[in-house]
Amino acid sequence: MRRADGERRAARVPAERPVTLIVNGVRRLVHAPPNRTLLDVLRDTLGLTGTNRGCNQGDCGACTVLLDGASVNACLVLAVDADGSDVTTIEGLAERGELHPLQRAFVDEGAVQCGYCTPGMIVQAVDLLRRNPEPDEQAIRIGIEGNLCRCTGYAKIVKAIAAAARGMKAGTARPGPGRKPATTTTGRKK
Amino acid sequence: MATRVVGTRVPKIDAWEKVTGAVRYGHDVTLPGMLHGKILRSAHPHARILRVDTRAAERVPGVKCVLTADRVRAGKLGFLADQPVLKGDKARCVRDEIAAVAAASEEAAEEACEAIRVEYEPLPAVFDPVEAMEPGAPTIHEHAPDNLVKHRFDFRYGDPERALGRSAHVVEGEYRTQFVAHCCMEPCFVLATFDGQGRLTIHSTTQVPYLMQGHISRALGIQGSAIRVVQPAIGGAFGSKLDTHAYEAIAVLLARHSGAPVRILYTREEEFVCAPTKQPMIIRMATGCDAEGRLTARICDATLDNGAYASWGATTPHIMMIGVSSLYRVDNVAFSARSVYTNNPWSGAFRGYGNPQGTFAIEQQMDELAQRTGIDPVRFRIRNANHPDSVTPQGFRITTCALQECLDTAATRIGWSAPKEPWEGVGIAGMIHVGGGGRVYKSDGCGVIAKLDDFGRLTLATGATEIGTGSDTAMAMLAAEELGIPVRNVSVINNDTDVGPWDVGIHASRTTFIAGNATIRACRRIRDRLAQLAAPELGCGPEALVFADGRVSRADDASKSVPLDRLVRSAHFRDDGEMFVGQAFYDPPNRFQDPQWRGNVSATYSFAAHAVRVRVDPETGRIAVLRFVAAHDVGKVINPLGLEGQIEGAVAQGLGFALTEQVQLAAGRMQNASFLDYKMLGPRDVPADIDLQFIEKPDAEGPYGAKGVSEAGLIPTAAAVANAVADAIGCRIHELPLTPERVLAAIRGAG
Amino acid sequence: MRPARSPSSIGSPCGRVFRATLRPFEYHGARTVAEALALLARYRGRADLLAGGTDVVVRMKLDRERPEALVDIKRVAALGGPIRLVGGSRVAIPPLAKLADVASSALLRRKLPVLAEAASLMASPQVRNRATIGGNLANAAPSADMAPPLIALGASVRVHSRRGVATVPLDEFFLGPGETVLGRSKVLGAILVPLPPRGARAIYRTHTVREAMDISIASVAIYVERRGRGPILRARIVLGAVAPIPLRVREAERALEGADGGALAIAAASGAAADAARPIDDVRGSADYRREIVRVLVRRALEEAPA
Repeated sequence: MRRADGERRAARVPAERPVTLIVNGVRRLVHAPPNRTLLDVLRDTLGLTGTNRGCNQGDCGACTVLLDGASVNACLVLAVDADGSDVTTIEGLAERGELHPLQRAFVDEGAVQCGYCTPGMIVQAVDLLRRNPEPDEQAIRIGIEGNLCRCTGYAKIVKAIAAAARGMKAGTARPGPGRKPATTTTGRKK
Repeated sequence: MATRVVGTRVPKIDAWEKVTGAVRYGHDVTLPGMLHGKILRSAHPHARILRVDTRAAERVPGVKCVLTADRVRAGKLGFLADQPVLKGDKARCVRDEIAAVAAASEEAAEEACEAIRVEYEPLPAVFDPVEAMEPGAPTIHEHAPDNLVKHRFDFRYGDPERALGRSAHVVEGEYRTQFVAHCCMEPCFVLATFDGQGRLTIHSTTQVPYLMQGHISRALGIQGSAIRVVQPAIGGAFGSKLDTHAYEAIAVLLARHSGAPVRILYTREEEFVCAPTKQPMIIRMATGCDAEGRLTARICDATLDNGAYASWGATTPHIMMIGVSSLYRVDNVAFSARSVYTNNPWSGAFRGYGNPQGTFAIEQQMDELAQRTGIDPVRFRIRNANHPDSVTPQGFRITTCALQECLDTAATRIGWSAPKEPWEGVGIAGMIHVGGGGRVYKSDGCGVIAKLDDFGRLTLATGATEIGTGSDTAMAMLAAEELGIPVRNVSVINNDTDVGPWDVGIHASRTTFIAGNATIRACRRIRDRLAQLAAPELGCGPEALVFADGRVSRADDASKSVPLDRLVRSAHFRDDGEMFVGQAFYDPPNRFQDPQWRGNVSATYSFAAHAVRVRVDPETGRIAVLRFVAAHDVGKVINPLGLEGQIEGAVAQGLGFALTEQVQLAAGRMQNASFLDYKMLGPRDVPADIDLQFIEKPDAEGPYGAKGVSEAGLIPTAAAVANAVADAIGCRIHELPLTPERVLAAIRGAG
Repeated sequence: MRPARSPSSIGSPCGRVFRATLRPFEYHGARTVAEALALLARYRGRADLLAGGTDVVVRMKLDRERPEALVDIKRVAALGGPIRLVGGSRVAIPPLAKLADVASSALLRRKLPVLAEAASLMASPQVRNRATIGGNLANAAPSADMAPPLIALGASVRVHSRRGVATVPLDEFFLGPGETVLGRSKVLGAILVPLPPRGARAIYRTHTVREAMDISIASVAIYVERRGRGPILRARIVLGAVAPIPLRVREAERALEGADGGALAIAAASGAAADAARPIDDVRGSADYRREIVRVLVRRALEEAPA
């Protein structure tokens, strides 16, 4: 599978391809070669740096985004493969400066320390609460089992998700991200 | 003391920007024209470097600069200055930086590194610290033919050998702890840039920005005044960023040689392989007691696997010794320790600084002695616990001490005497740690400048780094308390050596204690001046004023008051106007230890006890943690939200250390360099039931009585788990982590 | 299903560079099986199939694999679609079914709950939202979680080649770690699982250090068929992570078939399974420990199966 060393240096440069994404409700046209991931495009091309690169191997969940409504590790999705998809990142959760109930709960419950895992954790929790609006403690822990945190010991994260779920159910907080009308902008990787 | 802000649950002041993704971490920082740096590391754990050919690398399109040791003028790094920035003569571990590239894209830098040709002459290597001390072992550094780091620890008090000989009961054992990775969620980052006039700015996640100025200055011959350190938000540190690392100096060199800003980001695998680890230890310990269960003597000898270069990690016995000599009262103590060079990747500092390793041994022996004397382990510990207002053999002045209360509380809440199912066990362990700074440098101080503006907003400028612990919020709360303003009206600028006054760094659980005290003092200067100005207007003496709700009021008549901002403006916009800036430098009343390791290293000490209930699967060896109690002597709770988070997070790290985490090395190469194979605990692995108990006995020196706590939460954890497992399976395991396989072997061995 | 992350000693004799970027490759989106097969043929073994990508992309990031091209089969309609009942006697799972769909499938929960449970054990929600059951099988990790229960249930798979479609029993599908009868020229089709008769029970148990995001130290699937309290009519025992491929242990099955399912038969079967296991020592556990875990898991699973 690994080819000889000399052969490797005959660098092929695969062509960039147009990739259309609807990111946080906005249609974006970018160009990316096949070896760019969705995470690369979000961060480097579109400047959406809220999604963090933690392991780049799908093991830590720091780069979790919603792809067509389902949570994925953006580091494992090829950008070309996401063409035509709808992507929601952490930047797409708050509306008009008002925090999403999960964001609010993470602040209020002290679920944030260094904060590096936080965006992925919150986006994963959005996916969890959509599937199960009333998760118990165990369901919450299973729901975020693919997200690592080194600071908090998870207790306050679990509490925050439970609090947000209660708030959303009681209608004191509005549900997941809404959609703004699509507009078109272009971004091209330099 | 009635407080308005201190003691309330205040969300972290940077939480908003962290939950929205607006915050900028290292990898979010870019500069125009920025290049990407990449490092080629040694193919061998020990080898002479014969030839490095970079010609092909230089031809890779986009490459701006390729550096090897012979192309740079650089001194050495590390507190013993034993680590070259780029390694030219030989490689001493697989982490060693042989060459570095700066290129316009990450791919080009990677391709160029892969095109560098290196000829090595592999040398015999040694990976075990005990073998490394044997005669004839390969020499790793010419300056240390015996492979011993020139920094030794020998402490004696009383006559421990004789006292052990006369003890009614003596337990002896050898304990082994493992390499542990910090697992910061953010991989290492640095971005170095020179301005047109030769001034260097390093964007760094360091825990010691002001020491870093000196490290870079000495290693690279740049004047300290020409070095500015700016810190982005830091995605975890836990001790790993206490040293200035070679990759940081390499980025500076690449920036200097390429004339452009250069950023280096680690991959996760690189982070596992190339960032420092906790120092593994082999601890031999003997403890004795009399027939009544009073400790008579303890002898402890520790050997640390230092790896290829000495970092601050080599000094961890300094703090480990605190527990050995002073967790419990013992009149005869000997402690010795050495760090040994090996060809393993080098170890660094890790939250707890040797104390978790030492406590693992101490507290197992406490249990064994309790068993021998027939005294309940909790009673046995309380009988030997330190008391307030006492002095320990190392000369530590224990001011407040709630160890006894911690032990009692933890035992009660874990259900110490409650019946247990088969294969269930309970365990307890105590701890002592520095709680009022730790003087390991010529100053343990921190400076704060407080500035109150025309709108009543207070800005704190400080060198006290924030790595996620919430020290920024504690400082804002203390300032808000002092000046009677809301926390939201306080800004903390803590990430720029051009702005903040000096701080020794974030370590030793010191920041809230020391930066907090500096904050209070700086704010009081402003408050005192404001009181002077307001007193005539309000018709009373300055001492009769209170600062609350954004106003200065008469204590006896709240209707007589003036808004703070108006007071500021009226003093500002007048002839001979003035500004409201207060500064303070707080260096705690602790002492550098003398060469005999005596001296009150911390202004106060914090105590804790952890108790845990486990169930062991006797057929697989798997341990289930059923319940956990962490009782902490914290002096005074400043922010319950932050404090809980610190302890919960530390307990999770401590459980990982106890149960699953280990860097597995084979011939100096890491075998499990991913989150999949390095078993840091996930959300389902940390028990839901962690019961936090805070015991408040305000410390006279602490800010509002608080003590440092950030490391305390993981120090007794592994010891408590080991004791619970021993209770469950009927035999002791002296080696961490307590993997299912190891537990099963112990059960089978005992059977 | 996640590729084992193995030693960090990969590197050239000149040293080690930790790559952050994926090496360049071509990307082709196939619309039909024939198109995918043609692309595989064109690259003569130097192309990989891409479905969920949670495996192949990781292997490429780890530089363990440097394909010249990825052939994305995600949008091949014939490989997708719902999990469905076929002819009343078996269930057909399309290879593109995501693990999350397998885990939550009402049909599987009702008819073949062991498969839904096995899928829900794997990796993380993010990975399960993306990874496919076909990818889990085709990647052929010795620890792949879907293989043991499927083999225990007597599943077979469709294999598309340029010569046509063949049906292969799943226990003949795996050839070695990362190797299957697909080679790099064929495409995995539907997974066909016969519905077990009344009175049959299948159980899958894993042993991991963590509760989630972990690779099994050992895993065991059992299938036991009996009528009422009568003798065991048929048994299948399949082990994961203790051999180069999922290991069916016929000695253990023979120890059960015709027996009453009591302690003696269970001891004989679990002993036979432990003896048959061919585990290796690695970072996750020693061979001896793994063998011991096999014994315990087989025994516990058999004890759980109702007598």
